Amino acid sequence: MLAPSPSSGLSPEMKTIPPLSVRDLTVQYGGRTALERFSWDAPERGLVAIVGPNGAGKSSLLKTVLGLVPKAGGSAEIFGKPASERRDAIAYGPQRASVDWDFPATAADVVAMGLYRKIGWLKPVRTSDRASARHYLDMVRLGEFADSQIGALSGGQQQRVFLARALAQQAKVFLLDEPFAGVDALTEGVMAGVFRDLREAGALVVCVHHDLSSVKEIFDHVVLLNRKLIASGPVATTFTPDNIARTYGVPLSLNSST
Amino acid sequence: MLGDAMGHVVLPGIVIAFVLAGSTAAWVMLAGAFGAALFSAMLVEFFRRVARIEGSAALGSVFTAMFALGVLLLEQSGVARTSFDVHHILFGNIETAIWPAATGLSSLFDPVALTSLPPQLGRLTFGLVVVALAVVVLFKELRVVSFDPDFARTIGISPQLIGALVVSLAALAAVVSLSAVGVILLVAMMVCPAATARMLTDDLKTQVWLSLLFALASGVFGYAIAVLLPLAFGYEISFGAAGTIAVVAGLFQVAAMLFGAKRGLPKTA
Repeated sequence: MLAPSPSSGLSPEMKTIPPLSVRDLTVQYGGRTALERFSWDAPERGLVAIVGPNGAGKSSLLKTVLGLVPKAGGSAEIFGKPASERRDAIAYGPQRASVDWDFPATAADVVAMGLYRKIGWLKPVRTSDRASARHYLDMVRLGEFADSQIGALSGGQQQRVFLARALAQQAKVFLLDEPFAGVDALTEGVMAGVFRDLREAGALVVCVHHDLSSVKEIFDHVVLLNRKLIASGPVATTFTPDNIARTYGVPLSLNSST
Repeated sequence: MLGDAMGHVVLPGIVIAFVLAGSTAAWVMLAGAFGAALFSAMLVEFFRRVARIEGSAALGSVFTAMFALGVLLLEQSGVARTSFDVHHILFGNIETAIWPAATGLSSLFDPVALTSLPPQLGRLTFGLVVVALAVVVLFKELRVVSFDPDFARTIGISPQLIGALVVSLAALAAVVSLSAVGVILLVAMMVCPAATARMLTDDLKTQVWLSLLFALASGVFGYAIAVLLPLAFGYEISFGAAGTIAVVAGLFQVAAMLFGAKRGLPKTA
């Protein structure tokens, strides 16, 4: 029932290529190196947390993969091609703080943006599209807020609107920038449930994530990043105090961080 | 801000076009103004990307510099003392938009009278149709680019492309409006109605329609006040209509801020 009809834009050859593959990626940002020769092959499906201190290049990684930030070297490919040629396979959720929530729009208006590619250039949003937007809002338990102004929603609800918009894109690869930042317990539970459904449906969900204490309960894989790749792999074997300390440069207790 | 900028940057374009072509024909002025607007837009993008200056700061410095250049050219080239009426460029000349052949409503259906319609009317209608068409056809593209440009890019809608289009439309609107309200008061017409509407609604479509309504009302009431108010006090003169239109547009905004249903001042404080 959940988004990625596994066929969405997936040709047979795509099934043998990793959904996200990054090679020697280097990114310069504002005169400094945000990411240095970063290489990583994402798992075929599942939930991945990208973890690291502020300024470690986590957002830069997502934005460079998407082609929003130019790369200084290396490559980033979605199913073997640059993101610009795989737009139908990708859903992007920017940081909540990156947009102006005072913008005159309802929750359904924003979720409908996830359908714009399917609707096509210059064509209007139709009633059936709005019904579809409501359906995705239902999935994040915001159905009753479809006609609410986005500015009137709580931070957690706004995060869920972004998630619903990403679901509407029916993608295979989800790149989400801090979807759990500033959310309440209800939102965290709803979103973790949606993520599990996405994993069942065969999607790859890659999240920039700040809350070290919730990595184990939400994600299967982890990428520890501090401008360079520190470690990556299954949470159980990779998300160790030792690796975390190497990422943050100081020993850090798992439970003290929120 | 964009409207303000466009109003100012078109001045040097108009002066340069006049000096080069030696004519004040409408299409010459339009071409000059349009060229200046596009050049300025590119300059702003250049400042933002290469010099990493914040958007509104780049816009502010480019449009004041362009306006200063326009004034300088106006004085140095000597056109200020020729047929080129500076006053009209700066303050507009809506009073010349008269229809001398009109004798009543029936003139609207009189082919002879219709041939003498003021030329501004054609230009303004053209501008209105082009801008309105673009807004209707590109409504969802404009919406996503305004709200979330990064997301727009990931779904293949280029914010640069849409942005360039908006700049072009703003330039077109600025140019065709020049003869009505002039450079200085152009900003009142481009910003006030939209800002007023924003106080009253949270819906983008309603916002667009309300903006049109307030713009129209400002024009009608502003013009009526300019003509009728001095008469009412027994004066034989009339105010400059551009000024009263802008004042009315401003008053609408103040009223909306005070009594606006959606925003404005808090009702209980």
